[in-house]
Amino acid sequence: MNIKKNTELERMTFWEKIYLPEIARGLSLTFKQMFEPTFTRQYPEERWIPTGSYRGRPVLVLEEDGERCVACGLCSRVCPALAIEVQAGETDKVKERYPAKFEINMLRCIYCGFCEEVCPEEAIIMSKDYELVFTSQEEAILGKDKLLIPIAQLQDRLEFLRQYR
Amino acid sequence: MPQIIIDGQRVEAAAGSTIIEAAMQIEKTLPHFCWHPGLSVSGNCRMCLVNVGFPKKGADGAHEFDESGNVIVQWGPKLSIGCATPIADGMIVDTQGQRTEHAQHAIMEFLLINHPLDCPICDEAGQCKLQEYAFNHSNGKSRFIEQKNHKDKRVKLGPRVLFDAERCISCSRCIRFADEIAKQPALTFVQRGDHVTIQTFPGMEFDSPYSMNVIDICPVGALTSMDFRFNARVWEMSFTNSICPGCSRGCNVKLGVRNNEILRIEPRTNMHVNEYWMCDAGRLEQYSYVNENRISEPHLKGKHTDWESAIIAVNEVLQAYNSNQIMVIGSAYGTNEDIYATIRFAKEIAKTSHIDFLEHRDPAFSDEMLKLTDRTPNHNGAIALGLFTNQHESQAEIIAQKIAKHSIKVIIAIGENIASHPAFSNILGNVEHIISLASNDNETNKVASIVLPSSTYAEVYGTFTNAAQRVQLLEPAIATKENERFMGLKMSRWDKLGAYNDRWSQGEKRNSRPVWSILSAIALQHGHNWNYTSAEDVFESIVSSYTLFHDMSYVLLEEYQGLVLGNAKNPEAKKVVYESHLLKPQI
Repeated sequence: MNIKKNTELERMTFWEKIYLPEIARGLSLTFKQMFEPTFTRQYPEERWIPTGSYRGRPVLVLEEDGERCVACGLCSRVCPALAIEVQAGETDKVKERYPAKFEINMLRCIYCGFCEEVCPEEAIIMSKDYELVFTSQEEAILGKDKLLIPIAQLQDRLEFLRQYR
Repeated sequence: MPQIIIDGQRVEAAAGSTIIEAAMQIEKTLPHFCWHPGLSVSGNCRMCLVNVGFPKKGADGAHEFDESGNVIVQWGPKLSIGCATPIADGMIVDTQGQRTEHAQHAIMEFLLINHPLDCPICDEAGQCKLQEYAFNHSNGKSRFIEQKNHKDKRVKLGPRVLFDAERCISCSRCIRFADEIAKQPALTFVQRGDHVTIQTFPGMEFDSPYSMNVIDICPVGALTSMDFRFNARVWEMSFTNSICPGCSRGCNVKLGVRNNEILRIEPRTNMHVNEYWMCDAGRLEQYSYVNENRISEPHLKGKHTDWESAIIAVNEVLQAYNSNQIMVIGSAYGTNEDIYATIRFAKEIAKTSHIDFLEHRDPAFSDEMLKLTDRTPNHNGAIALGLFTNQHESQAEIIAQKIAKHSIKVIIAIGENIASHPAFSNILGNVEHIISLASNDNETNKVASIVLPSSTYAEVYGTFTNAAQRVQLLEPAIATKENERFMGLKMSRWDKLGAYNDRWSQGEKRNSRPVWSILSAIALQHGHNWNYTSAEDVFESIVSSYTLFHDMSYVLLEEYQGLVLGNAKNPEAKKVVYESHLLKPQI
């Protein structure tokens, strides 16, 4: 048996083995932290606002004259988790097609952002919304009423996409 | 026959045929928009330009060879279009070289100048020829930086067809179809250059009973169906091969299904029956009754019940009456399998000689092209299998007389809505039990004591025998509670991957069964084991017991696109099936 011993005890220096100076060193770090600025947030009162690059809940862009979405269904096709359902309808507007039904199942969504990447109209984008709590499976399926967000609130993300996409 | 060489491959084709036709013989399709084998050649899209040459000959008429001994080819000064250039002996065609490719790139760039970028809105996206060739035969660049030309969108060409002028690439397929096939020359080009567009002649509208075929042959999304418009994307549907049950022609069709609902019906090429076309009536009428107004559970005296107790109730009725008081009314709407089971049921279980079916003739429906007077898809099957007591007595009046004459007490109506017929209205009151096997809610079910839900043509394997005695195969497109575990049932992503809590996969799965399966369950309850587990088993027993059906099988029916009764041993030669454009990749 020629195994080299490498225990904690062997690796420690003399001063470490004495133990008391190390306690003093540790306590000094603790006391130093008490006087340094804190990072902890008081969450419900104090909320974190993410930057434009954050991928939160996917939303639909709402412009003055209605939604941008033309219900092409590419987001639904590309979605790896099959979270999106789109049913198209016909309108009299220049863009003949609109989503009669647009539902995202947030229990299926994995926030990958593929839907945003594939969208030819920049109509579905990832928002900053990360507070997603549901009390039932039904409630987690978001319809157009909850998905459509006015474009003014989405400027950060649109700016991010313009620069980095 | 002249021999030509296409990309180094020797092809022998009939004299007078064109390069594109010769290429199809070796399963090589030249890219094309305006050419269609069912229409005349117009040669205006220029997409099928190929490099054509002949071996160079010296002054003495002998071929010239280069140093390595190969024939020197004298290429043409310009490229030729494959769709209009007749082949000549010794012709050498290059479909993949640099010159051809350069021409294809140029044509694609040219066609895309004024084509709008509205693929996300367009119904054709996913099966569009322009998309396909933009991917396969284009360099993906455009030098056109000016404003695109804007034209009219949503122009009504007829009651069923909508035209988007911007998307049109002026291939003239629809114009030629209207002139040559629909025989209603209502469409024409107007204007010149990039303003060219398609219009109906003043005071005319394109309302031919075949008008919707232009939607299928349109290589882009310029012509759209007003019935289907924006219902679903192409890739969301599964397409299952089926046969149109609208009349006895038996046009081959594809059923587009999403969420267990038929959304559209398209023709499928079968050169022996319908070629490339189908009528608008078949397209529009033959899916709504599959989706709506269905009976989804067995009913006993108007109340829901399960299959077992319904079948026990049927047997109680059968045993309570004398066999000559029972009448079986089959249906020419059913498949051959259903009809065979009906006949066997009447002979072995009901032991009655009263067996008949109703003719459904509508002289107003027929025309010279595809539509036929006989509105049942399987009239010839019923005749061939013998679904009658006396032939030529399949009229409602004669059957009603029989019911009165023999004082029939039990009628088993299999897929036939007898109560809706005026001839039966006075007689059904004297009948004590009506057992109805029906797919949809109808008048007969209201007076029936037992209602058993049967599957429609879109939910079963089976065969129809059409007016030309051709036996053709049906495949199930829609899942029922019975057939949803079938291997090989084509399903869209929606139908395949949905879970119980997904709202997008809640298409109703009905508790219906094919007629042969219901009847063999009744037979089993009666103590007769027919040993049928699939429609193919029933068909095998038809094949073994009827000489007309000898040598047929589902595999052969699929391979030869149907076989003619009594002639299954020497089927017609298989033909190259041309499909203008399909969803790619195929799922």
